[in-house]
Amino acid sequence: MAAVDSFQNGVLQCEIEPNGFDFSNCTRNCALARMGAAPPRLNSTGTTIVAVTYKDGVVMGADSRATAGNIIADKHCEKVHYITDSIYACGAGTAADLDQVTKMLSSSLRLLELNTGRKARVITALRIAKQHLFNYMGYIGAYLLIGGVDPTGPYLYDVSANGVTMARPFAAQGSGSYAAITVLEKDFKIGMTEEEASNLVQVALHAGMHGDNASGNSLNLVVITPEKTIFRGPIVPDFCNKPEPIESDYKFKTGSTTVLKKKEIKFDIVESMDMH
Amino acid sequence: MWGLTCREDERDTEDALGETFDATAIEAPVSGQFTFPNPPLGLQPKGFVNAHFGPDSSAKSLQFRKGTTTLAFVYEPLTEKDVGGIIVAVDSRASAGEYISSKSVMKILDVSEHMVATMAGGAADCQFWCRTVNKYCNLFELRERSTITVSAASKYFANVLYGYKGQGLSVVCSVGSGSLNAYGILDTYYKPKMSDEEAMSLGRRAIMHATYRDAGSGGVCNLVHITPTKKIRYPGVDVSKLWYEFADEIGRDIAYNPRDD
Amino acid sequence: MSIMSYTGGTVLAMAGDDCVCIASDLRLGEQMNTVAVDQKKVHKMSDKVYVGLCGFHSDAKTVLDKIMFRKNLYELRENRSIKPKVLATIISNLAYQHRFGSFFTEPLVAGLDPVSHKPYICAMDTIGNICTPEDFVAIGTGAEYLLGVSESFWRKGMNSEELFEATAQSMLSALERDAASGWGAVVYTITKNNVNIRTIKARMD
Repeated sequence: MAAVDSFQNGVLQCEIEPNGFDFSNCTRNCALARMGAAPPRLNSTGTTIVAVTYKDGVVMGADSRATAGNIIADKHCEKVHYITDSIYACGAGTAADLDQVTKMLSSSLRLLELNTGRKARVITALRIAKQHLFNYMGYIGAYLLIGGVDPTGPYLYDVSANGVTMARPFAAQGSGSYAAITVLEKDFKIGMTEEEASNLVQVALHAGMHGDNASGNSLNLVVITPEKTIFRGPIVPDFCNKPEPIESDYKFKTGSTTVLKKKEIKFDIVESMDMH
Repeated sequence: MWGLTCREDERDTEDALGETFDATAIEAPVSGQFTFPNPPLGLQPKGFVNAHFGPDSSAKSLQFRKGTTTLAFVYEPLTEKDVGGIIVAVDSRASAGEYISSKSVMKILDVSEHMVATMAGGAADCQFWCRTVNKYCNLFELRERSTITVSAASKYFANVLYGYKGQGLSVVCSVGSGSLNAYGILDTYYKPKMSDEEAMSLGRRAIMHATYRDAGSGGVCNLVHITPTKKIRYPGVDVSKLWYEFADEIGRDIAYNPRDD
Repeated sequence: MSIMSYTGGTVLAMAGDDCVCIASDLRLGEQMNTVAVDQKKVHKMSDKVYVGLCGFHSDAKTVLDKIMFRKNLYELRENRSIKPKVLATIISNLAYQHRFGSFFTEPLVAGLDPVSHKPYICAMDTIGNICTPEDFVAIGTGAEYLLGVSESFWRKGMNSEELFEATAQSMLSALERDAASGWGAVVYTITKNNVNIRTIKARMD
């Protein structure tokens, strides 16, 4: 590590140990924006996410469509994020922000669990998330539903990008939440069974995926009970299937593309015992 | 609106020969006949067009179709067999921003029996106003019983367009975005005396080189040869094919050489 | 005008049966003017891992240097060749570090796992959101056209030759309609035993 040490005070410090955000491009990007250049299009999870608490656990679910403008950027994106074995978070908003925030949450809670020797509590996850998001004044576009079961019971929290949080018996977020919340408002009851709760989440998701263009493709569910966590998905609802299977597929004969030049890099196959 | 209408009292004057002189024959360009509905709320037409169909428009497919290379040159016949005249050559690409909206546009429009116009800029504007000029030329020829001169038609066209100044029209006659590249070829290889064969291949080559460098031009090269007696249209030639032929001809290896990195 | 289409360029990656294909066009432009026709947007990271960088060419070069630096440091520290998934995470973190002043480049990673030879393809937006579909990913000015045509041309379980044809034909179709990309294309077919690099014939307008 001697070589690395000599860099410590050098310009490469931030490359080796990135510490928070790098704002070095901001001046240039703002100048470009003032010149009238359109900003690049970010992926967002125009989403339906739904979560419901029941008698002794939490059921959470999400659709799996990521969009960039009108383009479906990802048909099977994972919006039910793992935080700990018994805490999960569903996310709506800017896709990259959600990935990074939930990654940060899960690593800091894992460290906490290892340091304390106990299971992390849902309220801790909530507090870390809200403090992080509040710090950035809503510029990190992550809207989360954090749910889970800890020794003190099942919990469900709603976190918005500017740091507002709410405890909820049931919740829906994202662009499809308007459709989904009506289903929840109508059919939610205190003290449902696991089956009732997971059916309700699915029906609410269906409503969101059907009514909202930015949601769809398939859904993922996670059922968190005090004993175990069951992940189910991807489940493709009937209305998300292609109307009819394609009869003929495009097969190109070898040689249909004109190749002007060719180069081959051959590898010597070495049977390696090293399993990395 | 600006127009070229004569004053009322100048009409119906008798000329020296005693024939009734039709004053409308010289007053013809009335540009105010066609009026655009103006955008609402007192918005300026030019700004309105730019905001909704210009390069800053959020709807890519609504951006006006632009990007073109067109050229024309005059030459004298080299031998007895050649006829000489004018070569008009164009590409065939219509683009809306980076999107190629058509690969086979005919950009040489008929203006009269012996006259053509090439279009660049807004395709709809070009087609519409060429039709207007075409109508004027036909009427002129019927009325005057003689063919209209190119300069007269151009003058009429210019006057009409000037009447719509500031309304965001986009009409460019000949040239286009790739024209600089085409000029390079024409300046190098143009000779006042050429055989017909030579002249046509020069036209095609200039278009081909322009389409190679300009992303707004491409497709096929359409060509018209206007001789002193008639107008001959030639079928389109794929410019990409022309480029590969050109590379073969000068023996240049144009295929990218894959490297190991 | 968007900076993302200032220099133009398109990259497509497709996954097959124990093989991946990654194709790139060769144009470098300045808006509508074509400046160079030998600029591939695909770069070798290790034997079987390639990265594609589209968008603003200047940023793509900067980001490529940063990726190289981090990848080399990783390989020195860990003393093993990098897995495509690890490389994707490194690039994603790099891109997200610049969340509030991003590089105008979209990265794409395609390759085979150096041990299991499992294919891996992924694409990112400018701030590092990773998409890992099982079939194909596209970035750059022609991405929208590619996503459409690849949906028809891609099939499950293609071998390396079938995959090459599907990738090349998808790319050629997209280049027909994208003015900012083209002027030739190069296709890398990565299999367990070799990497085939082929320059394919494309339209030169």
